[in-house]
Amino acid sequence: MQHQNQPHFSADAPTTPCAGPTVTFSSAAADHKRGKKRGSYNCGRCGLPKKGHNCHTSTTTTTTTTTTDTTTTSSPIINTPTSRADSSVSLSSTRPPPPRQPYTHLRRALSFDDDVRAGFPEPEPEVEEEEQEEEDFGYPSMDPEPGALPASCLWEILRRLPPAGLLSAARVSKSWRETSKRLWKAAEELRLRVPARAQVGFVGSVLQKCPGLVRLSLRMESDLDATMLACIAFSCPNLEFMEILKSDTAINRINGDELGRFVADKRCLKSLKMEGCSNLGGFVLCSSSLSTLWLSDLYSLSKMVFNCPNLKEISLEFYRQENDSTDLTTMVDGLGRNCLRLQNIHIASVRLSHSAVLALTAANLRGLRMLSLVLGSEITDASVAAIASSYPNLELLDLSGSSISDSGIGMICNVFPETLSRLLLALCPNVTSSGIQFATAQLPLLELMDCGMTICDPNSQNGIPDESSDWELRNTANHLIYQKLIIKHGRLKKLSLWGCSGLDALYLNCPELNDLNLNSCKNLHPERLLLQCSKLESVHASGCQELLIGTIESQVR
Amino acid sequence: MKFCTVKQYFDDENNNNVTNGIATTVIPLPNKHLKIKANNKEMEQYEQELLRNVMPQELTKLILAANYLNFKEALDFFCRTVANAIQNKSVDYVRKFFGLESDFEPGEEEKLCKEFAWSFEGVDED
Repeated sequence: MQHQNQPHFSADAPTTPCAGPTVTFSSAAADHKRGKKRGSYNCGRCGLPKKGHNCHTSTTTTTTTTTTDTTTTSSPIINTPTSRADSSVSLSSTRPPPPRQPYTHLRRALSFDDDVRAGFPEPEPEVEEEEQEEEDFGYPSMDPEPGALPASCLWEILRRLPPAGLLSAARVSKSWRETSKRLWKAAEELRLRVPARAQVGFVGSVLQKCPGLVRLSLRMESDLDATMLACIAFSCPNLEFMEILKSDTAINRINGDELGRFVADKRCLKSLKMEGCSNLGGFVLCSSSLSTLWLSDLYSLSKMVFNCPNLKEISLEFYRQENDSTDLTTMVDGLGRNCLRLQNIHIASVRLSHSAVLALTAANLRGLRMLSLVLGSEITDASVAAIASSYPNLELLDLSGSSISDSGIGMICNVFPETLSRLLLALCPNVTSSGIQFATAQLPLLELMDCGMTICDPNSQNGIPDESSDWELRNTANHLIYQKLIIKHGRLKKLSLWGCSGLDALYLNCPELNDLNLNSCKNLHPERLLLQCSKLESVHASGCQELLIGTIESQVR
Repeated sequence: MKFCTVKQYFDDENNNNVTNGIATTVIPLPNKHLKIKANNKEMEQYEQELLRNVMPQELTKLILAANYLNFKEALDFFCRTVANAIQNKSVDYVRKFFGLESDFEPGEEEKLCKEFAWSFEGVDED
């Protein structure tokens, strides 16, 4: 787990390697070798270490815990959203990537599911490579010398090696070279870390060994530009899933035209995920095969055309800067016109506004089930009304960072009780404990609720600078009084109250509750805590009073 | 059926593939597996203990035995162990480990070496 000072009363999260036929293996040794810190593998969507974390998948599979996300950054989390002043950017065509902002951890909601994730369990070190072969094939029929391994056994060993190991293995002997060549040819999935000093042709030469590749994930520690795209396009004709992650120091120089060309040419590409998209500038994406698109670190896009009729899932994360000139309303409008099959939408931008929401609600996205519009302080209760009337069947709603108030919650509870299972309202300063309690009382299907940083200590000046007009209302309602929360819910599995420093009493009667995040609930009084949750496995309580931790321990055991 | 081969093994006189010593290690595995299947941690501990007593070179024989006996879990486990043991080592180490000799022409190996020089950075000491 991330912080040593954080008591985890949980059984370890199951750390099974990836489910399915892919082979993963612990590369802790490799970590040390490369001098990587664990946790340097950041999710592009929320900037958090990627462990136990899955940002955006389609409905079936995996889980991440909000708590995992927030715990990993529990200390730096409580920041006020200020615009980043540090990227003294000269607007040349490339710019160094601004440091990752602690706020984008908000982005994590859309993928939640009930079962524990089998993909990136938290303690597991970075997966560096997986190779997967699904085809049967005839092993070379040469007789091994007595005592030597038959080819099938050698295959079993070699397929568990990381890419570097496999390349070394080819040098051992001729039969090893043969077997490793066959392994490459059979590989359908490859995850490769591209080191900082890698030569340009490096990735190309590796990719050429595996022409059957269907899934590719590159973690770039060196800079990235269109030659990489060309290389991938050339070497991997059957590529369907592509993911480009990048370290903090690498720069992604790909521009919008280049990306557009790549997407248009790759006729079977189904999923594209890319980080560090600050140099895109604008793009036109045309693809009838694309169904998942995640772009992060977007900035000042002049035009965006999404000509992708089969797009089901989209995630667009913008840099948190006030001078971002992207016209979100037009963009959303375009999405609504062209991508009628959208089911999951996630947009993270401080410039999200009510008019962007209206553009969305004007569209006819019949399949929309997960909607996440975060960081937009200009999103108000009126926006909630619009969403509720156009899309009454949402299963996930994330309006973290917005200005919605308890009456917005009221509207949510009016419209969505039969479908909503995940509600995220972190960093909504106008939400109070009564709103939260109302939500838990009125939404019977709720399984995940995130109210981080909503109930803030009114006595300290720690609160978020509040731009909404309800500031006064909130102030008078809460001043000098801590709040208490009583939640009784039969299905709730994950509850996050991180940063709720205005909370001093908590009573939970949730028999299905599995994960509870109380990080930085520093005013939560040990004698006013009652947990009646028989299935509780994880409680995160860093930053809480010492006695509280003891109380939790005694109540959970 | 994990053990279809075992019956055959006992019936079969001709047992080059599996020496007795190995058989005593591999065959009790399934029972243990079944008993502690639910608990991953215990399994790991058990496996670590098992391996502490086994010479690296014996692993090859264990793999052969598991392969012959068609015992998937043991095969997976042994192969994983071998892979972990060799994954970051030099080519010579790997050759020694398996008792192999290089059968390349002098030029060939040179070429392979140059091709992916990056992958040989940071290799562990032997």
